[in-house]
Amino acid sequence: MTAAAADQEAARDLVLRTAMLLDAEDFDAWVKLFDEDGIYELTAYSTEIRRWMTWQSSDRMTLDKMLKEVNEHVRDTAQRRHIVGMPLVEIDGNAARVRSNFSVFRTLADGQSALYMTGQYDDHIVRRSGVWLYTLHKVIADTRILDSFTHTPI
Amino acid sequence: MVDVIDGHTKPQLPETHYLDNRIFTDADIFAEEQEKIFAKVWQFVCHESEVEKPGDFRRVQVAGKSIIVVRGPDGAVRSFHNVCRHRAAEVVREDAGSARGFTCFYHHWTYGLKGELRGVAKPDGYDAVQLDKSALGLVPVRCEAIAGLIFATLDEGAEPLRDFLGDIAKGFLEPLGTVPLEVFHFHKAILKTNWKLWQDNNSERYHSILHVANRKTLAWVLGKTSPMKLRIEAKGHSGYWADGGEALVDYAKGGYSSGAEGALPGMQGDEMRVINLFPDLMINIRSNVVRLDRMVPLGPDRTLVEWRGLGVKGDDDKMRAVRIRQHNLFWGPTGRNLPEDVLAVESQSRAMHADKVRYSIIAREEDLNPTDDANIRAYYREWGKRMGKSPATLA
Repeated sequence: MTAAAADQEAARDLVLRTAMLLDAEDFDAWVKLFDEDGIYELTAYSTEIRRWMTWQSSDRMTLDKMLKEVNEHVRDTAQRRHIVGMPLVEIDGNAARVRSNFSVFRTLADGQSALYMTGQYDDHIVRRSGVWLYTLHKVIADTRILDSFTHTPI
Repeated sequence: MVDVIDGHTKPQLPETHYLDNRIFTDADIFAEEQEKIFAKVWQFVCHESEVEKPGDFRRVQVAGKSIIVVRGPDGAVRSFHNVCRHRAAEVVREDAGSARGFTCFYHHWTYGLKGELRGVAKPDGYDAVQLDKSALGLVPVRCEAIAGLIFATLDEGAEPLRDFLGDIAKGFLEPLGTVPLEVFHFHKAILKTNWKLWQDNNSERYHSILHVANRKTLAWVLGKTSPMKLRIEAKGHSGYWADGGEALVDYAKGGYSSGAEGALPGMQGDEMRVINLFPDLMINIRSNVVRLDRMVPLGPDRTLVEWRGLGVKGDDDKMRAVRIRQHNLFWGPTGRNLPEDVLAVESQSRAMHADKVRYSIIAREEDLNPTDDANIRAYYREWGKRMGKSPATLA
């Protein structure tokens, strides 16, 4: 495998692993996928107010606190499952932009499943000591009417 | 002999201190509310910043009717029924936009921004009947604004907006009305619950005990009393806030960022103020940011809720980011509190439809401490007055 192909594969692996860790609610491992100054963003465009909105923008420290509190909340008990499409990777040296379409399905305790959100990840990643990490993990949500709100990242 | 516990036995309380849960589930009562409440009251429809420039418009629902809110070329905001005078198609089909006029997509009748009928397609066809265009403008809806909040009513005979609001307006006139604000956040959800349960959730304060963030930052949640007091005003409106002193949210205690920076006029740093207007507008202010909840009831157990977040128009990027962060921390769709509130009101609706517990108790009396139920009782007094029946006995 060429170095370029290996980078492509590593970037895709990061995106898929991110989704797997969220589905498993392994938040400690999920936060470690961010660079020291990495940011998680959830954005959407409102046709009502005709502007882009930031629904969440959190640095690593804030994410860490938020996710440590998850089990203190009364929260939605449905299982979430991410389905992530093949990421488009654009490598530029030790940095890359990675775009991936995604869907999140929500399955209730009785087994009923429904689409929860669909959209795109528009990520910026950087290579640190051979490991790719997020400098910006950005969710662009197409879905704006959510069936249940969430204490966990998308 | 053991007494049988029956969930349909009326509580041994004054009639003002409990509710029959069928007001939250019954389809006939829901239909009656549309006619007797929503078609009669002033309802918040949007913020002035959503129709900032001449030609800017919003399409909204009021009591099941589609309404256009539009800023005219003269700067005045007007509202109209969104129905073409020709064959009754909807004239505006987008939630928002900017236009020089409105053209019905079906047969191309065109209207000006003041609602006047400007033109009809193939006008010669009406020569024989001398069609009077001046009488065929869009049908107007009464519309008034206060502190940037635009209200509409379907009732031509309704009192002026300021009279409808009364003294409760004192709670929001300064923070919302003395600096120009703009909406930076909008999201919505269809909650599987009755609309009044969402209003109740924002009105009664002791469910703060549900929220881990509130347990950590609001000393009074677990304490006996609070320096904040309920404000009960006429016509079912209420709120709670403090006149000064200790009524601050202790964000640091919860490890959260402060809301003091950029506090709105009249607000203390880290103050919390809650105002609930009958029947369905909730104004929440956390010092430097405003949240507005508006509801569109869809059925006894379905409610569309719109959430808006507002900051100061002209904020630089840094200040806007501070306000957005403070808003999202508690009130965004991934905020600390909102997901829990939604779970609570949807749980109530499911259980009420099972009808195994017929009554809700609103009997706390605590001298207007925020954990008093006096504001809920005032709200349902107004509901009973408008509906012509007791919310406790349905008689």
